[in-house]
Amino acid sequence: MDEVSRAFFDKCFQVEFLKRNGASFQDFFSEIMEKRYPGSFQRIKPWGNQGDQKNDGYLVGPIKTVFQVYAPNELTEAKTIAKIDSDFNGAITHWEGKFDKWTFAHNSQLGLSPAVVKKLSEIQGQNPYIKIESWGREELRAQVFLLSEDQIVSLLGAVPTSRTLAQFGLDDLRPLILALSNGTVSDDVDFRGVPPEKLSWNKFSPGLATALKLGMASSHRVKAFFDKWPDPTLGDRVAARFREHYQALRAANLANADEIFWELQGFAAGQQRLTPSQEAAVIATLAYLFEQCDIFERPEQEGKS
Amino acid sequence: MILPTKRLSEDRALLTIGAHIIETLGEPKTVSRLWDQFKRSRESQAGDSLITYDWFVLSLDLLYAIGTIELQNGRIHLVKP
Repeated sequence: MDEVSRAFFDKCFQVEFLKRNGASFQDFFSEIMEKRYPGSFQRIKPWGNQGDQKNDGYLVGPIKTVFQVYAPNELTEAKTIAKIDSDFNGAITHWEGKFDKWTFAHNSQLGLSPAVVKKLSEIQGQNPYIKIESWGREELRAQVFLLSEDQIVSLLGAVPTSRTLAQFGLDDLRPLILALSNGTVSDDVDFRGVPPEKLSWNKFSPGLATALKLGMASSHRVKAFFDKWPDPTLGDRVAARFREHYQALRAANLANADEIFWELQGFAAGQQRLTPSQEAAVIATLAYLFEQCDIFERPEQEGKS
Repeated sequence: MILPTKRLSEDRALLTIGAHIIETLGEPKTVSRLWDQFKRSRESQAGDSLITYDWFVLSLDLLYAIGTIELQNGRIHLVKP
């Protein structure tokens, strides 16, 4: 798997993890586990008046594991503790002797509160012969990246590769640019070139840095598109829209350059899921704007643009 | 639009096109004739850097606004200094 694909898969996983709740999250979890442990992981569904008997997924093997998946719209401490209590005791009632590990899988973006962790620790203390653990985003991501690339594509969809970034076509670029062309024209007269340290200064992850570098190798095609477009103001109008959106994202204090990048990518893509070639056109456009210093920061010692 | 920007190359800026129009105005000409001659001259100089008729007219507007050309009897004239 090349670095560019991995960066996109990572982003797709994050989006799925964050947007799903309830039954949808449980389906996502089960699909990952079925691919990861074919023949060994059994998805459990409520069955008539038996319900699911406090088991959302059962992994057989040398260590048998009962999974309890909890993904409400909002995770509150009191309800989570009550849920853990009820579900573990229910698992003991229905599955005693049939499991060695009990895993609480959740969708909290921020981790578990101290009280919830203490509850899990308490249950562990009371049940020394059963391994108690919790799985959050990182544990589930680790399972995803142990899958084969084909399995990940089946789970998350096709994404660009390094090769796609070099091969996107005009038909991929044109609708993207035209959809973003209603910015206002400004006479931006900062002609300073892109400083060589700008990429490292913004501290992108390795995968995104690679994607941007590959995008820069194709950014001349974005420039050529603007140069040949009948309306000479198109490039400036598109740049103005991205610059405005970038400034808004900066003001919102997003965590890091990667987050801002993916927000800009989502802004460019609109609400639709793009093909790998279209995604490549987006990356090349963002790389072009990066080189033009419309988005992301110049190294401080040089002064801001 | 008037001056080049990061994305508006010098050869498509209105000021540059205005200078090119002035070079083509050796004598008073109708807008149509000026446009034909401008296009032919531009094709031989600027390759495939496209200028539409709308953009050409904008440049005429600029030259008129700064008092460089005027329209008399249906023809564009350079204004004598």
